[in-house]
Amino acid sequence: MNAYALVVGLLLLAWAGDGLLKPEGKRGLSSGTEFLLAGILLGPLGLGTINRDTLEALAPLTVVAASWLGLLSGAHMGFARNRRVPLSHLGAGIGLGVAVFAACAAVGWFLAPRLLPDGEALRPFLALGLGAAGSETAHAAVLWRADEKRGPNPLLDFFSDLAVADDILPILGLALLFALAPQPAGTPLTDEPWLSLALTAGLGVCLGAISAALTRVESRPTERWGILLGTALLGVGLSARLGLAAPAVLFLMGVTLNQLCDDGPAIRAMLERTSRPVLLPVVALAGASLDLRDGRAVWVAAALVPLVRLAVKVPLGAWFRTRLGEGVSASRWMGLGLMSSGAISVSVGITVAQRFNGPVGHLVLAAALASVVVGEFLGTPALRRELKLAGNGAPSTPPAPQETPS
Amino acid sequence: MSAAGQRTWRSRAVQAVVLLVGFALVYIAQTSIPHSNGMLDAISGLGFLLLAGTLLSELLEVVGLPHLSGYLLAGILAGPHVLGLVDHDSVERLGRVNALALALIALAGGAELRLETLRSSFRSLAWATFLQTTLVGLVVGGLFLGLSSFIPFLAALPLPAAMAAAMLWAVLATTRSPSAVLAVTAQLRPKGPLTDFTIAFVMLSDIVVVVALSLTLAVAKLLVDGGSVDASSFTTLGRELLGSVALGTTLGAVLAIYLRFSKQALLPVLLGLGFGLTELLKYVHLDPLLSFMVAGFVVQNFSASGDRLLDSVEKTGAIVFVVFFATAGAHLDLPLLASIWPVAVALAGGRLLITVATAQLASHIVKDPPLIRRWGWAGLVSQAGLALGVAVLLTRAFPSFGDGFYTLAVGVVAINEMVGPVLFKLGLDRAGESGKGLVDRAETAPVKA
Repeated sequence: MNAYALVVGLLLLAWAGDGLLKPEGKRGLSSGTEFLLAGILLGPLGLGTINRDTLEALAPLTVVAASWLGLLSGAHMGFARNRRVPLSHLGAGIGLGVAVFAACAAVGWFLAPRLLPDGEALRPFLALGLGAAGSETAHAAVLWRADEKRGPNPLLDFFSDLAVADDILPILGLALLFALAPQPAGTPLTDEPWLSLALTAGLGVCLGAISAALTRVESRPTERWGILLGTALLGVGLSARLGLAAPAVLFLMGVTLNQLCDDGPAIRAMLERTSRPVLLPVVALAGASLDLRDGRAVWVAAALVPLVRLAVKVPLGAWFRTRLGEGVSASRWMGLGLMSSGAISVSVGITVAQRFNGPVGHLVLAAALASVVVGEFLGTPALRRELKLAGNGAPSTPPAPQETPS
Repeated sequence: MSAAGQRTWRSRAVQAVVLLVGFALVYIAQTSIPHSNGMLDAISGLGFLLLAGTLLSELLEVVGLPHLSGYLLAGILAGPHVLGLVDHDSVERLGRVNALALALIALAGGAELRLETLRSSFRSLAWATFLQTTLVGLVVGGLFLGLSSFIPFLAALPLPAAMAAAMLWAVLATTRSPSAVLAVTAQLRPKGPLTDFTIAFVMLSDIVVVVALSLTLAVAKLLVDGGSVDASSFTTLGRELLGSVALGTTLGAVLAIYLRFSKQALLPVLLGLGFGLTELLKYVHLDPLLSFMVAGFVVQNFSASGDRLLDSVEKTGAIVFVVFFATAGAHLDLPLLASIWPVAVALAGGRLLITVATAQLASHIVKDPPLIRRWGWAGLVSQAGLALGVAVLLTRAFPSFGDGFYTLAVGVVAINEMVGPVLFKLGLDRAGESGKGLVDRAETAPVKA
């Protein structure tokens, strides 16, 4: 397929993504799994309509879109459903993320020498990659259900808070993975992972501060878009030049922007509108980029990562249940409701697949996509069931935005 | 007073500091890691131009310059000929984004053309178009020939070929810049007869240039290569014009139906059309600019969705125009301009003078309102992408003098590109049609020319 035709097709998906978000109700699957499957079907593994050359030609666009998802996630860090995430929930979410990250990373550490040629050398990369790909809880999935349950709902808030808080783990893992990876020839960062991490943080914070300073003095929406888009594109380009993980840089940019700007809700609302239109094309491209040339290793990674997520999240969910306050009812299987995986996993998967064009990239992408699919068919129904059981989310008037002044 | 006009010195200081930080950031990255990263470098360049163009345009507003000048200056400073923050390869790659920008600009331009305005100012537009094409062409072509001793490639040509080159230069002189006019109007949101006249004139001049160029090419070929006039070129021209208008009409009808029945965001649709159709139209040898312009015209005048289309395109304006003109600025070859500036200034100055005189003559004949009589020329000076496109075409058609011709054209267009928007803004300011940035479109009754 011609690259132009594919761009037009992706724009069509973006249009569809916008169309699926109707005020009267959301349509489709929250993670965009149907588009992922369509991508696989049209990609080199399926009908071959989208071939590898076309995917390669579009790689820069894919990086931009994946990084944009990082920016969205960063801008929402610490905020869920238009309110600040309580510190205790933030801690619980990060703890959940650490546990899942560690378990998925252990899978990578264990698998690399057994399944991959030159596996010993690839061990840290695969461990970090699988950890990053498997440790997200998609808050899109929670918010997808949030509109169905508009009344005050502590359980829904708790799910949202955990989902927002644990986004930082995959992003940190991705930044570390890029820092440890051999740098492209000509860059002065070779063998200096700490410098790479410091640059990731510094660049992200600097770009976030720039965009915050400018949005403070600019209230016109179109000009604000120009500022955000310009800064984000600059961030992606500079990250590529410096060999940094662009989604991590933009995530930090989003965090800084959200903390320093004086119009957080408006900026977050602006960015949120792009979430589906950007996610769906990326998910479709990720599906098309799936590569099974590493045979058994890909299948094993794709099977084990969701299993490990399940094995960690279900008991942790049961433990969380015991810590929920009075009057909040949840089943012992509430951990299943945390199985959803989405934008960040896909972003990590596709970014790693492009940076590590070999077994590590293939396995991480496959694991990320498997987590998304399993999360959609296992996590989302479980989430719905939990919210139904909680019974305190009967549709009522939408909650007024109540953000703690920063 | 525009929102931008209410800025405090503190805001300006923030913008200036951020601009400097941005330049420093990119400069450090470029110098510490000089290796090229292909398309990602272009993306970085795009982001930087977008940011720097936006900021510089705000800062230059203090001295009364239009935003477009800021976009251009950002491109010139960041471009390969000054600081080199955006390299030549990236500038070339951004050409595809420019094609998209041009499609949106043409769509907006067509949607700005209202039948009511065209009808009421038909006589004025017809005379202005006729005189601005013939007189400007004749005088500038004559001046070009008169300066032949200062133009090395021209001095070396035999008389028939030199005359052919002068004719082609005359056509080049009649090209205007719809994008520059629309960029200035997008910034100032002016209302009034001068605005209506200028937009209508520059959009229609695109069609006139296409026709004039084809006719002149045929005659010039005859003068340079000998032989007879190739009638097939006229058939091709007719096919191109009719095909572009037909496709534009169809596209306009489809867009109108879509706008009537869909409340969804229009931006992805516009981007898809801009990217996909531009390539398709080029592939079938139709003129994308004309097609998109006709589509915008159809939506505006034959459906009730014109204002929605215009509003959607204008919402992207602050981004589209920055990208388009900042990239154009990065394209400007300053060393080249420095080497040919005396002749380029003479040709640009001559064109400016005859444009002013012709505008006043046309206004006098049709008894235009005093505003148009005084300032009708102000929007006709700018030249940009269309002129350069014509120059490229001529370069390919006449390899014997094409390179020298192109070099001089780039120099003259560069001057007009920088001076034209400033003059247009000055005209709008003096005519009292600017400074209504916050007035809603619906609040202002249409003004007849």
